[in-house]
Formats: sequence, C-alpha cells, structure tokens
Amino acid sequence: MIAPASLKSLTLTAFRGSAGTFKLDFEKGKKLTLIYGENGTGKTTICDAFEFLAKDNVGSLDSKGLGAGVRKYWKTVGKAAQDFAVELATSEGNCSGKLAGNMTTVLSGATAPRVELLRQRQILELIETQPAKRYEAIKRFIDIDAFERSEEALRQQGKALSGEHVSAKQAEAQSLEELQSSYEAAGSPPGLNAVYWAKQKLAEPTTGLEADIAAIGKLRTAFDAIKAYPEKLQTKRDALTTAQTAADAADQAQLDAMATVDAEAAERESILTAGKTYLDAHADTETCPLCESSDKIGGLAQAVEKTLGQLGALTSANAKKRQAHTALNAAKTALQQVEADYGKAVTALSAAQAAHQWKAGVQLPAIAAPTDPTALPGWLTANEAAAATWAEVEAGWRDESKFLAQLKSAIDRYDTNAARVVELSALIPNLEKALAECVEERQKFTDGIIGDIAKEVGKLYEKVHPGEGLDKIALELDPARRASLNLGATFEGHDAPPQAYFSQSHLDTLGLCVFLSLAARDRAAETVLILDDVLGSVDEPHVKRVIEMIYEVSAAFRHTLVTTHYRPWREKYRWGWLQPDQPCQFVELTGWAIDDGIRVISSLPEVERLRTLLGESPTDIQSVCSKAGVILEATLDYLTQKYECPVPRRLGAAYTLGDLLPAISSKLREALKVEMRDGISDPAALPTSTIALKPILEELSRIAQVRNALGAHFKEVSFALLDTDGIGFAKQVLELVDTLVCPEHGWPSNDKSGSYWRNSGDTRRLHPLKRPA
Amino acid sequence: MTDEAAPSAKLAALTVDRLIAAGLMRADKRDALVTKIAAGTMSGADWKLEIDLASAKEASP
Repeated sequence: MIAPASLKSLTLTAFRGSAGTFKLDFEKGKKLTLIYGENGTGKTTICDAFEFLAKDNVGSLDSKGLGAGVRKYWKTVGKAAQDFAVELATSEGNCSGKLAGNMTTVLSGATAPRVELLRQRQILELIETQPAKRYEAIKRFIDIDAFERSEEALRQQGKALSGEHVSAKQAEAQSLEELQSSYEAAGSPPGLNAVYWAKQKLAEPTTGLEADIAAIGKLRTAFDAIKAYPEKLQTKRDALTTAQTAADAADQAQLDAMATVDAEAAERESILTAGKTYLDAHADTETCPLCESSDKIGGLAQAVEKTLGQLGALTSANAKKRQAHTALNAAKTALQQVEADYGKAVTALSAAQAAHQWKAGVQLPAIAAPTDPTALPGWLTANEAAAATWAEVEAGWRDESKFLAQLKSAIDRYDTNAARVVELSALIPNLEKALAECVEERQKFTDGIIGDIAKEVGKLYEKVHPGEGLDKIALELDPARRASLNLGATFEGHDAPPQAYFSQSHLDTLGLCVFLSLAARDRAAETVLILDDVLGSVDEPHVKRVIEMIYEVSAAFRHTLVTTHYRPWREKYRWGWLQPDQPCQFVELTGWAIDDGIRVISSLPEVERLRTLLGESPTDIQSVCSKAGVILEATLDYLTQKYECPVPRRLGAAYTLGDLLPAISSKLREALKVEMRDGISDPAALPTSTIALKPILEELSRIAQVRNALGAHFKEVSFALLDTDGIGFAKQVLELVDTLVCPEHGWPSNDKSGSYWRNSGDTRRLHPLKRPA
Repeated sequence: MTDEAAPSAKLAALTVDRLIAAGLMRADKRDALVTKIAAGTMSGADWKLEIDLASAKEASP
C-alpha cells in the first residue's frame, strides 16, 4: 500500500477565528500534533478547518440554533465570503476550499482529506444515545444490506416453495380423489387401485372412438339431408304446376288481344301515336294532318285513341306471356336441380355408410337409398327408426370420449403434482439448510466484528483504567430489534449499562475509547484523526494514561491532531515527561484578538529554552543560571524519586538544590550510568556509549552555588564570579539532562526490564533499577 | 486495522465457502456466487437453481 501524503501546512484566511491569515506548519516526520491553548485561542478553528475540507461542514456550530443560514458564520465576523480560504498542503498537493457568494463551498486541488473528528461535547454521544443511533455509528463495519437482500431472497424462495409444496400435496390428494371416484364408478375393479386402474384404462386403444363419433356424425347429417327431399321435391313440383298454369293463361290472353287489332295495326302504331299527339295539340283542326282531307275529320281523334288502346293491350299481353314462360322454365330448372341434388345426397349417404367400420349394435339401412325419388318416402319409412338410434349412439360415444379425457387430465395432474411433491420434498430441506447456514454465518460475522470492537474498546479502556476494562465492556446487537446496539459493562460484578453506574470521568474515557476504536477500524492510515479538547472532564489520575493511550492509538493514523487546554499536559511536555513512542509536534496558541486572529507562540521545552538562552549574545547570565537551576531541580527531583532518596521533610516548601544534591548518596552516584542507545532498534544490541553520572553530579555539586549567586538572588558574592562560571554551570546541567533525557522519547521511567529504567523509545537505559543498599 | 473489503463481500465469501463445504453450492462457481450474493442480486430462482444443481452433483456418483 502506498503511504498516504504527509501534511505540510494548514492555512486559514477569514475562517472562523482566523481573522487574518494563519498558517500552521506541520513538522516533517511528525504525524502527531499536539495543540495547546487556553480557551478562545483558536484550537477549535483549526479542527473546523479540517472538517470543512473533509465534510463541507463546521461541526462546532452544529446544535447551536443557528438554523439553515449557519454557513454565513463560517467566515470571520466582519469579513466577506471572498476573503474566506482554507488550504491544506500535503506532500501530494494542496486542497483548497473557498466560499462562493451564495455560501456554497468550492473545493479545488488535491483530494479532500479523510477526517475523523471528536469534540468534547460529542464524547458521550455514543454512550448516552439510543441503541439505534449507536448502531448507526458502527453500521459501516457491519453494513451487510446487500448480503441480507440475497439472504432474504433465499428466505422468500424457501417460503414460496414451501407454499407450493403444500399446494402440490393438496392438488395431488384432490387428483387422487377424482381418480378414486372414477375408479369406484367403474365398480372398483379388484386387484387395482385408482391410479393403476386409470393408467390401465387410458392405456387401452381409443383411436376408433373419435373416428366412430365422426362417422356417425356424417351418417346422421347425410340421412337428415335425404330426409328433407320428399318435401323439397314436392315443393318444386307444385311450383312447376303453378308456373305451367300461368304460362297457359298468358298464351290465351295474348291470343285474345291479337284478335282486336288488324295485322298492320302494329306497323301504324308510330303514325297513330304522332297523330294523337298532333290532334291533342290541335283540337280545332278541320283537316286530317296526314291527307289534309276534311272528310271524316269529326271523330278522328277518338278513332285514333281507340286503335292505340287496342295496341297497348296487345303489348301488355305479350309481356305477361314472356314473364310466364320465363317463370315456367325456372321452375323446371329448379326441379331438375333438386332431383340432381337428391342423387348426390343418396351418394353421400351411401358413402358415409360404406366408409366406416361400424361397431356392432349400430343399426344401418339394409339397402341403399333409392335413386328414384318417388321411392324415397317408402325407404325413409323403413329406415327412420334405425336412424333415430344414431343420436343416442353418438351421445354415448361422446360421453365415453369425454370421460377418458377427464380421466387423462386427472391422472396427468396427479402425476405432475406427485412428481412436484417429490421434487420439493428433496429441495426444500436443502434450501432451509442453506438459509440456516447463511443466518448462522451472518450472526457469527456481525458478532465477530462487534466483539472485536468491544474487545478493542476494552483494551483501550484497560489502558486508562487498569483492571476495569478488559472483558468488562460489551457491545451486542439487540436480537429483538434489528439495527439496535446495546452497550454493557460489569460493575462490581453485576452486568449493567455503564451510564447507570460509571462516573462522568469514566463515561468520558469510555466514549473516547469507543470513538478511537471505531475510527481506527476504518482506513486509519488514510485518516486524519482530530481530538478537540476531549480531556475536559477526565480526572487527574487518569489523564496521563489517557494521553499515553491517545499517543499509542494515533500511530495508526495518517496524522493526529490533539487540542487541549489542559495545562499540565503542556508542562509535562515542556519538561519532557510526556514523550510518546512517536515524534510529536507541540504547538502552543496564545491570546486571540480580532485584529491578529490565531497566534502561535514558542513552545520549546525548557531544555531547548536553556540552549537558546546560551546561544544568545550577549548572554543573559541571570536567565541562563535561573533556567539551568530549575532544570537541575527537575532532574534531581526525578532521580531522588526514582531511587527513593531521603530528603528533609518540610511542610509546603519545595526542595532546593541544597536538599536534592546531597540526597543522592555517593554509593548511588557511583552506580548511576546511562546507556546511550539512539538509533538502535535491537534491544539486545550494545549501546552506542555508556555514560557515568557521577562525574557530572560531582561537578554540579561543586558549582551549584552559582545558581543561587547568579540566577536566583542578589548576592554580593556574584561580583566575584565570571560569566563563564554561570555558563559552565548551565552546560553541566545540559550535559546531565542530555545524558538522561532523550529529546524524542523523554525520561527513562519504565521499570519493566527488571534491571534498569528505560524511556519509551528505549534510547536511554538508566542503571541501576534500585538504590544500592 | 484498515477495513478494505466491504462487509457484504467478506461475509458472502465466508458464507459461500460454508455452503460449498455443505454440498449446497458448486465450488467451480464460487467467485460468481460470492459476487452475486455480495451485490444483493442473488434472486430466489438463482438460489434454487444453484442448490438444485449442487445437490444433483453431490448425488451423482
């Protein structure tokens, strides 16, 4: 895996408390940054900046009732949105965030950092919240929704098939019942059960039955067709007789009409018609329009009209005759057609009868239907009774066919359902087994993860509260409610929720442990861990262990920022008492002002301050001796405590160099040695060098009065001393401290070796372990 | 302690191995089955078919 980019600097402009431009440089090679500052110095603003880049949010303003317009408070009061800028520089590029005019965030450059941030007010959220919300916090580790969808599909499939199994068994029973009814209706033939009987029955050849039904249907149709012919023929014959009579009458009417007109009358019809037209138009004419004679002009018009009337009657008689003869011919043709059809019907009946192999018992005409229609009525009379039985025969055959079809359907259903029952009886147990395996593995999986988290919480808690943590903290999913996580603990031998009996300080450290356990599980190497003033309510006896626990956990993260206003932490750091296994950058913030914004002040440890004082020109001897004296007191305090050296017991007053230096006996001075092991990783390897402390302590005992004379009080004796005396004293103190204390890993305070004291990085080993008797 | 694989995928792999050991899934289909179960797309019909085929394979000499 490629190491994530290291942080180089964070620059804030017009962001929250950073009124101007504030730049925090991260020291190279140090993944842990401890930011100390009293309240209101800008610690939270730095945390907010990371959260802004990572999550487009400023969580310190959440839950403060600022409503939807909270973004406008992200910028420093009195500053414009365009002034606002946050930039995180890393070894792989810069990630910048600005605010647009509408207060939306515009990110540019490298990928936004991944951040896990815990604030003081959130520390109890996971402890005191509802089990469902607690589940939400760990859901990302046990988010198996997709798996559960697949599992649910299996469960539903099992249920569906079980339902199908029940239905198939019911259908199998129903089919068997149907078969049983048919079997019983058939007289329950011995030696068989309903299923075997039905199969045997269906195995019998049944091919002729459908042919029988079809044949008798044709026979019945053909017979019914023949049966209609006597009436049909009679109707046609009657029609012919009627047509003949009408034709004869029309012939006579024509003859009668012809008798009324002369032979040429027809030839004159057009002249007569024209004359009539003329005479109608000229009623007063006195001459014949044809011959112009006035003779016989009187009555000419009546004579012309009479002749035209006779000609009209003849024309009408002619038309009726033609119609009558047409009808007569049609009647003859119709009769001939029916007679021809009859012949075909006779042939069809004979064919229908002859085309099939009839079963015994079917009554058939003994002789074929006559071709002579006149003989048909007699033939019909002779065969009508036999034909009447055919419908009944056909109905019987059709019933049998239907019964066999139903029987086949019932046996098919029975076979299908029986086969399905067998198939499902084998499949369903396997599905149920698979589901049980899924459920068991899922529970084991989630319990395992939750157990691991609880174990990790317990482990961290144990570091802070030895003897109270391991196996005492429990997380468990509520089996009755999905997505619900209970938190449990053992208190005085009783299982109880920690909220019920734990002190506030214990709850705080538990909340911190839960947060750190969860954060460390989720891509810690890519994550910037931020703890914003989380030591607020931890009581003094536990602070040191909490700090050590934080130091230890932080090593797994990409970078860790810890802010605090806890002054002892600052002091212990300055005196080298808190030196983690990993290099740590200490940043101290000082008083905030609207014009200056956030300000960093030097937080050099005291030893470095002394070194700085010694490097100044001109040298401030009073300051040098004062600082060196305090450092020497701290060092002797450390040695006399470690070796339980006897010192004068006084109420209230601190021990002086005069108390502490003689307390380190000559035997102890003789025995005191420090193995210098910088850069050695093999614990069995020899040290770079071993330095005896006796010469240093002896020299310090000799010149210690310089501290009082030059660095603590106004004394005339100091007039006789040289600056080099003070500088020599300070350098001797530095030699003692540099021998005893590693700048990165602090004081040798761990006695677990059993034979010497070692510091956290094993770069110093102080001998002996105990004061010589 | 970084948790690279999605929980569903890890659980699916464990479960499929368990089902293969129980003869309820075919070993040669392991990866495809893990992917499908982890994605939440293993349908009821898929389960039935796989268990059916695995059981048949188990039963065959």
